[in-house]
Amino acid sequence: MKEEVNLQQLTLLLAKHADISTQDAETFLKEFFTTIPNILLNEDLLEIKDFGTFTLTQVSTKEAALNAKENNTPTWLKLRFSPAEELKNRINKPFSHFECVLLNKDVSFDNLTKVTENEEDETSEDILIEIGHENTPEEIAEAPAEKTEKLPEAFEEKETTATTTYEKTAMEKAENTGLEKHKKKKRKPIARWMPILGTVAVAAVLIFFFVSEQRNQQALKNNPEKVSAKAIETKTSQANLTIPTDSFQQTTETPEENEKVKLSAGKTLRMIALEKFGNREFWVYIYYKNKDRIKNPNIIPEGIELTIPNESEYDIDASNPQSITKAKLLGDIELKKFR
Amino acid sequence: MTTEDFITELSKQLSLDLPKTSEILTAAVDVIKDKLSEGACITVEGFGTFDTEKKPEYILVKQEEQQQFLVPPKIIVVFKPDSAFIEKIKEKEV
Repeated sequence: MKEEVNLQQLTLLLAKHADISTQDAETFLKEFFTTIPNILLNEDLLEIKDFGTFTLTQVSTKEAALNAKENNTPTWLKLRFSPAEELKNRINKPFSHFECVLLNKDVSFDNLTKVTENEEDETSEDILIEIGHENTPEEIAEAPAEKTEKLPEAFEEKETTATTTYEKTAMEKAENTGLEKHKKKKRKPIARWMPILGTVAVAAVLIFFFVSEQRNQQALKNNPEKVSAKAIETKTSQANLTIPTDSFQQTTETPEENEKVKLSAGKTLRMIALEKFGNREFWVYIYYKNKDRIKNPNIIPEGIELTIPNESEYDIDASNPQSITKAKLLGDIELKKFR
Repeated sequence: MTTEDFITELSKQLSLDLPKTSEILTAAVDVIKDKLSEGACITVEGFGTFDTEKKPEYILVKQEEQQQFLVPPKIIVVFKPDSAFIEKIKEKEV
């Protein structure tokens, strides 16, 4: 459940953070949020350091500009908030270690949107505001289709057909705003190739985790992680294939919501995974969840407190063979690094 | 308008000195950033909403080089002005 923060809560947080009275904090925030649109009335750009930039630009083609003057037709302004680099990086921290991966030519994934280089743009979050009419529509979103002829680039938002729970929530939320966004949804039927695609998709995770992992390996004390010989010998021949359909997971839950387990003597991640998730191969997700504390999954100190991920955080489903295969492949990748 | 000018404007409105205004502005921005990075949605009545959204992964096609790249998902900050903000902007003279 997403936390909702309102002005009152912000006021209390600011008062505490800035060591000022609640009243001063409230006055400041009210002035802050009032001044921003006031400034944009006279300025086209407002930069707030380390936060972002509000820009207001007139959307015009030659034709629209002529029309505006001659026929008193409405003018459109494009409002955009561009977050500062620091804010962007901070927000995207869960995915910051993922990188773009070059795909082999024989790899194809029907369930992901394809975007050509020149189509890639960041304007999907622009808000269009119509001015210049006495009776302007109440909501911008009323007739996006009618306006797309003149202003196509501002409306486009690209989406994939990936259907993780998190994405569905984000999509539903975006649909309910009442503001103008034009969405393209490409939905392609998932056919009877699902099992094959699933296996291929599982292997796709390899590239991301393999490329993004650059931690130092340090030997840790105490009991080593017992890894089955079978897991070590398993080959990962699908290293060249990529694309997870649902492998990118964000941990949205706070630490308080996850179970904690203390690693007792003789216990291994595989044993805990078997206990908690019904299959040993899911040990790799316990490792991921505790990566900041476990340098080497083969050597885990006795007594360490492990955070057990919820099944929804990663693709953990003991009844799903694909889920198990995926976890096994991920586990093999991780173990290879420590040979 | 730059950040410095914005601070000047705020300090004028609030009758505060510049260093103090700058300090409180930094604190306010930090608070908002903290909440957003926790995944919270910040709604200010009469202004709008700052929220985070996950952009799904997609395939980027470079036709000239005949290459395809898997672009990972990312979480972005989204600002949605509310009706009062928009009505204010509509007063802008162009």
